[in-house]
Amino acid sequence: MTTSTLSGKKIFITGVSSGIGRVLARDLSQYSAELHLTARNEERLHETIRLCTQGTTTSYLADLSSTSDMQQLTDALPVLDGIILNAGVVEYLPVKMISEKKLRGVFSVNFDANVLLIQQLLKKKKIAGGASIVFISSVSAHMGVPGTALYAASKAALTAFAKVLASELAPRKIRVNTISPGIVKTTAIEDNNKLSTDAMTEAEKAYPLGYGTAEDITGQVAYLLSDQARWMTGSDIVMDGGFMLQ
Amino acid sequence: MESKETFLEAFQGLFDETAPEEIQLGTEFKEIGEWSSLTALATIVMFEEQFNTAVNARQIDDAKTVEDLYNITATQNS
Repeated sequence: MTTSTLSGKKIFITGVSSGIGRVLARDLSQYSAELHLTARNEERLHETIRLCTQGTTTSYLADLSSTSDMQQLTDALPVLDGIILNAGVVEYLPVKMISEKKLRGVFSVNFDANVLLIQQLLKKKKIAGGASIVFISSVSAHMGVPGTALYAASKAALTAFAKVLASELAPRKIRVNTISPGIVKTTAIEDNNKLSTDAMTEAEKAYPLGYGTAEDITGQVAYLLSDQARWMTGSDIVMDGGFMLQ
Repeated sequence: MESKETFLEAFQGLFDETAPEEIQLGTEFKEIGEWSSLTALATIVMFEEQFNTAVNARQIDDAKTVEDLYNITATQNS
């Protein structure tokens, strides 16, 4: 794919303060896209912007779980050619330790905010015909790994939502796809200190190709955003280094 | 700061197959047959939710007895 593929396209990315979102912003800027980036943390949002060396970048400080922030954000955004819904939280706990607060916390960020964001963008006619929407889901949505119930369920809900959205938007040639990564080495994972380094090293043995990196995801996202993927919608692309082969 | 008894009771409650009286402050908890990575995860959540204490997996790994675990709350909340 050439770097002109996304040149000038207006692309909106959520959750760019770290991890996959930050690398997505950095790498997609190399395609000279017009990036619109949002995150909750101002300092880290600006750190990401400093990494975007090509194209143009506009930033929006917003907490997507806040109704007023969401409204201001969706008012301010231009009509978009590409949307990457990446913001999310990782929360691991056994089912018997789930509390209503935890349940609401995970679903609020991983599911509710994404649904309401898309709803508002559609209502305000901010998604161009022929646009591409990419949700970052998770391979957890397809599995039953102990301790991942809330996270997996929130991502499974997101994947199901994306499929329905794809069918509703197909008449306008708007494509909707999800990427379901396995464990990607990001600061969110490294900072999730509920898993010891030894446990993480041991778990990596279940990945024939090892853990992924954020860079492994960005090429696939760029493809889905491009016109080369014009025949793909409603797909869920698992990228897991072979984890699900076993 | 929570008492040792309160902490012990909460920790005993994480186990389904092990009788509470088999778990005491001096018990080496990783030697309990029912102990698993999922119990470790539950322990971290218990610290967070019931004792307002952030604990990481390394601290759980380093602790031997239930009292060692209790001392984490005592240290962080003193």
